[in-house]
Amino acid sequence: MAVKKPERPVDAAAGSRDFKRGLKDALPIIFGYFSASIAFGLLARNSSLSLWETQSFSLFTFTGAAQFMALNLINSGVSGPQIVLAYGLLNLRYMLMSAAVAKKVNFTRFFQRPLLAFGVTDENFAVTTSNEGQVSPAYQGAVELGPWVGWNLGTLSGWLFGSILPESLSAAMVASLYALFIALLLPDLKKGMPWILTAALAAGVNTVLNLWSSLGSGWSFVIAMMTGTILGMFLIPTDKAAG
Amino acid sequence: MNNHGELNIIAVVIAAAVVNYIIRVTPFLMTNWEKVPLAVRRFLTIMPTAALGALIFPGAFTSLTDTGRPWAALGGLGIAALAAHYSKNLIIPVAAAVLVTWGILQIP
Repeated sequence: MAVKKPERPVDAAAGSRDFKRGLKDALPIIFGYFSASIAFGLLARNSSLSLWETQSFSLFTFTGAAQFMALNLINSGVSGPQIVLAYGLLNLRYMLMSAAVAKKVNFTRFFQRPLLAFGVTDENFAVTTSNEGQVSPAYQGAVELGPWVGWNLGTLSGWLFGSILPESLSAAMVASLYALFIALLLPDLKKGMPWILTAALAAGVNTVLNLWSSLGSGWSFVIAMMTGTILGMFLIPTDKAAG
Repeated sequence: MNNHGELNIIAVVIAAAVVNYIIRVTPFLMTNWEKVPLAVRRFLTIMPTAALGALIFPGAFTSLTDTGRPWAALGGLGIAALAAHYSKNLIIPVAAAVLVTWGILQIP
């Protein structure tokens, strides 16, 4: 009678190696998130949010830009349902990223699917999809968990100690968020003029609506994003963006 | 400065977390992504580019309004784009942008 070899220890060793590699790949995101979320913690405290209210945003929603947008909307006295709607619209883009990540991960158990769906962001999506071939659930876990810890430690530090930072430094810290955005946008811009025009139209529409309309930043963003995307659908050849 | 007295922040967080999770988990549970209409897939592929454009403008500039120097964002964005062009490592553009923006804000 054949004795089945125990597979667990082998799995565990490979898992731990992949987890470490994931953390290493995610290191720049961990630092980037840490500094960007210091700004979030500080801004939240300045908007009179309690530590728990602030931290729960980072713990449970884990969505960079949307959290900043939520603060803006809270400060402008926007109602709760409208904030949630804007949150959902702003984060609809995660559907595509989640789809790309889900296709990339080599799932071995069902529970890994709902678990690893939680922490997909613009940045770790970019890291995961830059890998050749499939990645293991352990790798994906590290690529999500590391940045999540960084984002939450930064949020905590920002709320607790952000106010002792010089004003110019905390203002400059916010630049880290926009630096991440431009670093992510740059590869798209290199794909050619249709992509540049797509981003430029969205940027232009958002600027005009934000500065010279009374729509508010949530709706302005959604309209700008839709306008740019629709232009892109006309300009970008089908084979280049089939999804 | 507290103008959200009647807004239950925790309720907003819970609702936002549920909405977000549904958005993120749906594709993970979907195994027939290829059956989604081409136009929808094209829309979702192009959307991140438009989203990033709108995320940067005008936010990068208006976030500095309080400092009286919103144009300082140009320096940060410029150096970040330059650093991102030469390095795949995201921490370099981030660190460079913070340093340059901070430096510009220090000029008397």
